Amino acid sequence: MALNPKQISRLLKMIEHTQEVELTCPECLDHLDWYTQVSLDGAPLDGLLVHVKEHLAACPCCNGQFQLVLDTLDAVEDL
Amino acid sequence: MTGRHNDDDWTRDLASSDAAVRNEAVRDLRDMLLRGLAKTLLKDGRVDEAFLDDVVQEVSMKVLEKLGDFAGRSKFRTWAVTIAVRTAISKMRKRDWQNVSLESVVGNAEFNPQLAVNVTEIDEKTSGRSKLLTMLKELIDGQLTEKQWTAITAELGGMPLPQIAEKLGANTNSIYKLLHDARKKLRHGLEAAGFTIEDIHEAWA
Repeated sequence: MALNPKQISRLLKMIEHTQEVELTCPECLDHLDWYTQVSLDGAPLDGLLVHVKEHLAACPCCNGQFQLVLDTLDAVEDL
Repeated sequence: MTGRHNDDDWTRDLASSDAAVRNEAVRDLRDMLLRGLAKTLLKDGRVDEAFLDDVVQEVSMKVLEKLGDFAGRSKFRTWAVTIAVRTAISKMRKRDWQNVSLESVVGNAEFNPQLAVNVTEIDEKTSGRSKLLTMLKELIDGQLTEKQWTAITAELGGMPLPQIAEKLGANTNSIYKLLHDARKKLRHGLEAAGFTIEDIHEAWA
């Protein structure tokens, strides 16, 4: 079974976003509340949060989780 | 807005020595999480109400246990929702992937550069993409271990990292490192062959 074109594109995207030093998924998720708050507040990202942003750009699993946090917070605010 | 608590009240009331105050705060917390998650997860049928009840029960306990760790880097509501989403996703992934074998996702996955190139459009961009993909195949075949390729193809097949790790008998951190090392090998190999980050971007964008 060969990788389909969509999977090949995703592999290339992952390679493009690869950094020499990256957070692991659990490390990224441990800081997700902080990253979410800074993002919502529109404050500048620096230090560790830059690595969280890089991880989210490269990892669909964690990015999906981040988007769900944003959607759920939005839902909570609307209630 | 939900509940009677604002962000300053939560930690005080959840830690209160007055059982009535504490219980009311827990009720408010559960109500907020249940209604928030219901709006995001119930709408597309990914979970049912019983599943959400279990998640919210578990999260309420976690929040109480971790209350002393709350560092105030985010609002309490953001912190609690982040824990709730992490718990819900973890349980959904376990449920969805527990009966899916690694072999059924990975199969005998091959990288065929020709599949990603439109051969009816022979131009400079297509030619450059074809060369990059051919080099990428050489790097995959020559530099990645079988375990690295298995993990990559499982991830490309949509399997979450914790489940890949479980099925490979490893932990999530070690699988992330395995994948990171593989991606670095491929990126360094492409760069050593003369391809730039812009070339890689052009090849998928």
